[in-house]
Order: sequence, then structure tokens, then C-alpha cells
Amino acid sequence: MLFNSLDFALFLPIVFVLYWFGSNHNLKLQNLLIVVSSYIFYGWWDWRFLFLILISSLVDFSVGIALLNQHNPFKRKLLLWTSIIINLGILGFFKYYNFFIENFKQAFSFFGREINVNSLDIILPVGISFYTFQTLSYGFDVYKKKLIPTKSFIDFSAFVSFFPQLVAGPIERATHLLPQFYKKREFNYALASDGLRQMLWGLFKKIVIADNCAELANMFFDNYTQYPGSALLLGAMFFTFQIYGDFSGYSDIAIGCARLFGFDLMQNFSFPYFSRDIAEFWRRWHISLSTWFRDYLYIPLGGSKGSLWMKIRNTFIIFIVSGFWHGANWTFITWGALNAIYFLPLLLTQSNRNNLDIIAQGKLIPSFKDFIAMLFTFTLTVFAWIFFRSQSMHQAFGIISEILSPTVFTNPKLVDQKHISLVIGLILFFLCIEWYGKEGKYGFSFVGHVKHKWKRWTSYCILLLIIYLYGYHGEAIEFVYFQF
Amino acid sequence: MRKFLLNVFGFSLILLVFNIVIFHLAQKNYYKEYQFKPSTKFKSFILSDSHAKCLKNYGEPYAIYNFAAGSESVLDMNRKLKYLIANNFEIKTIYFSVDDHILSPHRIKYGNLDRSIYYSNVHEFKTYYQYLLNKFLKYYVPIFHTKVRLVLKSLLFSKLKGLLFESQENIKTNDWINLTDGKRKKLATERFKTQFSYKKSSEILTNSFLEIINICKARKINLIGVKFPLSRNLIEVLGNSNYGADSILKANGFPVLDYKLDFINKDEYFYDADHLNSNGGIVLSHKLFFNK
Repeated sequence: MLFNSLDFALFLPIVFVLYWFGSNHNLKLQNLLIVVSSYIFYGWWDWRFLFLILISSLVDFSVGIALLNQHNPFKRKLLLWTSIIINLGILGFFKYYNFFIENFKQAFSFFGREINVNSLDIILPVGISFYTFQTLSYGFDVYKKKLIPTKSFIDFSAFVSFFPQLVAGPIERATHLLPQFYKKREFNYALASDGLRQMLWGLFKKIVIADNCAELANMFFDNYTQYPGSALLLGAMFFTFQIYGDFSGYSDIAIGCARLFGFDLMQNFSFPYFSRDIAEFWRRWHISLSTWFRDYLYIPLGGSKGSLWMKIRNTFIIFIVSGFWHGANWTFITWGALNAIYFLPLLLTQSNRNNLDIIAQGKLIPSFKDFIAMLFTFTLTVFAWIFFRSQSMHQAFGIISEILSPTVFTNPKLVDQKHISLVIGLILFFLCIEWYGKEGKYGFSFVGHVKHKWKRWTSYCILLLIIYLYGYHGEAIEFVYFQF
Repeated sequence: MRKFLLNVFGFSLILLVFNIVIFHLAQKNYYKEYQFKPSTKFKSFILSDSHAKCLKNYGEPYAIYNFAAGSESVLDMNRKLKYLIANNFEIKTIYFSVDDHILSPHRIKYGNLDRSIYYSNVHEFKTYYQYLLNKFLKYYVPIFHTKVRLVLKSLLFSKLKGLLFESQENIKTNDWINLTDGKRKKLATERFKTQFSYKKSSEILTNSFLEIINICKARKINLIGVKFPLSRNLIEVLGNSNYGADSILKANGFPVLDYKLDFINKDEYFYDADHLNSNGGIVLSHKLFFNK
């Protein structure tokens, strides 16, 4: 079920009413309702893949219980590896099988040997990377004794399948989300109304910014051979805002929606395009995944401690794995490696934690130095997104070589200039709101602090009108991160 | 919770008022000219896209009902035929548009499926929920209807433009005859590119057309193909482009009345490159209904 669909507009109020009024505030009933509604939410897309969530839930729930009763270090490790192998096995089969088969075939044929294995026509289950990582975090935390495993399968299933964040995150840690299912939830007016506000902002990001940009980015990327460098650069910029509007829009809707049910999900984006260096960008972009890799991969590998070689190795591992997590394609791996290259100089000069504060805090205009740093970081990011968006390395290099050629200075001579100007105008409006609200948890949160109710409501109505008038007019587009 | 619900209720009220406004505007500007239910006295029907709109109600004295609509696809016509059958119309003849472009994939995207749903029934949908969602919810809650949004938005902006640039708007004229040859060529080329930018005909539309043919065969309905007149400029651009609806009909033993070239040097009968104006419509109706 898509957040930007009529189905969801019907589904959400029904679940909300049942949750707060039909369950008599009974915790078990509420959790059961979450599980049932989450399975309906997911099954709406394809019910056949519900069994994967069920298997993942059953495995980790059982491993958790077994770890609680097991004190033998070897057997505990064995249990943890069982969880890792099953979860990553499922993920690997559905997401990476064809990638490895194709690459093995190419590698063998390079050495003059042919192998006779065919790739399979596999459907990638929506959100598999998200819920797999979420359940893995449970296994790790229980193993490390950071968390006492739950004995209620309903609570655990609710944690794994919680519908607001099931298909595209934020990837919640068991230590943060699971205990929220144990506590009695009281309705919180401030939390719920802020949640609705955040959902509205998320919808604006998705329908107005991301979907409009997607249409243009697709036009440039899909026909890249027909455009000069200037047009392709514009296309890369559109994709840069598409991916941000799409993914952070989803996160906003997810976080806001969870708040309606009394849950607090972690912040996933914190105005990443206002970052002054790549390290800051990665502290602000897809925070739930970055911190997941930091805690469960980077730190166990030694992190930034150890020899120079170890630092370089660990940085490359975490970024390349992060790229690979996004998809089974060399383009994603290159995107990850490129970010490692961006990040390494900062790490090696120990300046990766220089920009921990908010840019231009308390000011409307940034300093010249901050502005240039922000622009430079943004340019690096746009460049890296070209790999992320391209279907193949050939396409990525084709686009980059055109952008780096003199055609980047030519007039792109685009047919639909009016529409392109309109989308650029909408992006500028979006950036202004985000900049003004950058000290909050999301761009539009400052409206909640406006004293007069009529002003707040006018803001909501204006935003709704913009969504209505300028929202993408085609069929509802799936969120980009559904495929990951 | 009470405060929250009151606020949600208040905001829903605003949305409801907005929805009512949009609903009325949609009725007036989008649905009004589409949703008609013919009387059972009619025995023959014209199923076509906008090309047959020039025929207006000239066939009604002869029990021929003009069921044509702008942007109509074969899928929409199929729905209308099934509607007539389901409502026990005694159908003798169907005049069916078999113009060169009628099976163009372009029509899948820009058809009337959202409007012709008015003529659909529950059996067309996989689930009852889909039926309710598409037939009623999207109709009564048009704020979720993307096409209504697009139509009203363009209406709003054209009104605003009219207010701001009234004098310039009034000068414009749409009559084909009043345009320069260069302008006519340009418009004809644009029309051609819109309709013939695909290499193959649409499989979905072709299958739907074959279904119509089979229904007519099974119910012994006279199916008559009609190729509507085109302007000289469009014919020149068109060449041999044809997605082949006429050939399919002929191959199935049904006749085709071909008026495509009949108005080739009569630009005064055209409204645009491929649509007749009122006078053209009268002349065509004489040809079609009286074979003159």
C-alpha cells in the first residue's frame, strides 16, 4: 500500500479508530491490531511475501528466546550465526542471486570457462532490506545482552512489521522500538498533531517535489544520448532532489504516522543538503542506516581506531557495503566507493567531526565560508548520485563524460521549458522552507510553534493547495526506496 | 483526544467543503458532457471518439444515438457496448470508428477509462473493493482524482489568463480555414506525432476491439466501420500510417464506410486537422445516414 494512495487514506483512519477506541486501551489488543493491520498493509502489495516476514520474525524470536537461556559462548555464537545466515540468506537470494550469477558467468568466461547456470526471474519483495536489517539488529543486541529478548511473539511481530516503517524505514533498533510495544500507550495530543503536520510535509515532498523531479530526471537519464551536458547536469540535479524528496518524504510520513499511534521513531534525515562536508552529509542522510552500519559493522571492525591501513579498509568496507545494500548493481557499489573516497581525507586529517552544529544556527543567511562549503558538498553529492541513478556503469560514464565536455556550457534547448521552470520554482520554495525550519526535526515543524491557530491552519491549507495544484498528475509513483 | 478529534473534524470539514466545490466544478467541466444514458427507443448507436461529435444528434430521428465522446478509446466503447447489452437495448446497428489512429497506444494513456467507468458494472473488477473505489469513491471524492485535478487546474489558469490578457484572447480564432498553410501544416504534424509516435498498435486496444467484433457477431449486430474525414494537411503528413482497425473489421466480414478523403479540398468544413465543424458535420451526416 502506498502512503500517497486512496487506499492508505481509507486504511489509516480505520486503523486509528480501532486502535484507540476499539481496543479499550488494552496493550495486547493494540499490538495484535498493529500486527494484523501491518500484514494487511504489506499484503496489499503482494500477500505471498508475507511468509518471508513471518519466517524472519519466527527465526529471530526463537533465536532471542534461545539466547536468553543459553550461556555457553560457542552455542550463543552459533545461535547468532543461525539468525544471520537465515536472514541474509533470504535477502541474498531475493536481492543478489542474479547479480552474483551474472558476475560469476562473466568472470569465468573471461578465463575461457563457461558455467551453465541461469539467472532466475525473481521478484524483489518490497522493503526486504529494511525489515531484514531491523530483525538482525534484534539478534545482535540480544547476543550482546543489550536487550532482554521478548517472550511475546505478538510484540515481536509488531516490532518487525510495524506498518509505518515496514517497507522503507527508518530502520529501527530493537533497543529503541521494541520496548515501546511493552508500555501502555496514552494518546498524546502534541505528538499526534505534530505527527499529522509531519505527514503533510512528507506528502508535499513526495507528491510535489519528488514525483515532479522524477518525471524530468527519468526523461534525461532514459534518453541520455540525446541530450547535451547542460541538460544532463540538470537531470542529475532533478534526481538529487527526487531521491531526497522521495525518501525523506517517506520517512516523514512514517514518523508522523507512528506518532498517531503513540510511537516515537528515530529521525532519518536532518537537512542533508545543507551539509558543509561529506562527513556531515552522512550524519544527516539516511541516519538509521548509517548508524546501523556504524554500530554493527564499522565499530566491530575496529572503526577509526588502529593503523592507517585499518582506517582506510574499514571506511571502504562500510561505504561499499552500504552501496551494495541499495542494490545488486556495480553502480551502487561505485556510488558507495565514491563516497568513501570523499570521506577518507576528512577522516585521515581528523576533520570529519568539524561540523557537528547546525549551519547558520539562529541566522537567516550563512557565512560565505559555510555557503561555499555547502555548495561544494552538494556538488560532490550530485556527482555521486549520477552513479546511483544510472542503470549501468556504461550509462553513468556516458552521462559524466557529456557533463564534463564543453556541451555543459550550451543551451539545453528543452521542449518543456515552462514545466521545468515550474519544477525549479517548486524546488526553490521547498529549499526556503527547509532552510527556515532547519533547526527543527523536519522542515515544516516551525509552523507548530506559530502562536495563532488561524495562521497555522492557513499554512496547512496553502500547503494542501500547492499539493493539489502542483502535485504530480500521473498515476501514484512508488517510493524509490521500495526497491531496496 | 477530544481536542485532537475536534481539530481533525474541523480540518476534515475544510477538506469536505473543498471537495464539494471540486465535485461541482468537475460535474460542470468534466463529467457533464460525458455521462448520458440513452433512451431505449434507440436501436442504432455511434461509438467513436471526438471525430463523430460533429454528427451531434442528427441521427436521432432515425433512432440512431450518437454515443461518441472526446478522447474515447476502444476500451471505453467496449464498456458502452456492454452497458447497452446489459440494459437490454435492442441493438440493430453499431457505427464504429475505425480511423487509422484508433488502435494507437496513445489512447491507453489519454482515454476516458475514469469516466466510462460510469457504464461499467461490478463484474469488470477483480474485487468489490476495486469496484467501489473506482466507480464511486473516486467520483464522489474528486480531490483524489488526478485527471479532474488536471482539467480544473488548466481551467483555472486559462480563466486567470483570460482575465489578465482578455483582449489578446479574443483575437484568437480556432477555425481551420482561417489559419495560414504553414500553421495548418505545423498543427497537422503535431497531431500526427501525438497519435502515431508508436511503432505498433496497442495489444490491449486490439484485443478489446476483437472482443467487440465477437460480441456483435454473437448477437447478430450490424457492425459498420466508419473512417472519418481528414484535412488535406493531415493526410499529407499521415502517408500510409495506419494501426489497422479497418483491416481487422473487413477481415471479419464487416463493412467499412471510408470518408477519409471525401473532404480533402474542403478546409471550410474543418474545425481543426481531423475534426469537422458544424457545417462539415451536417454534410457528413447526409452521407452517412442517407448515403448521399
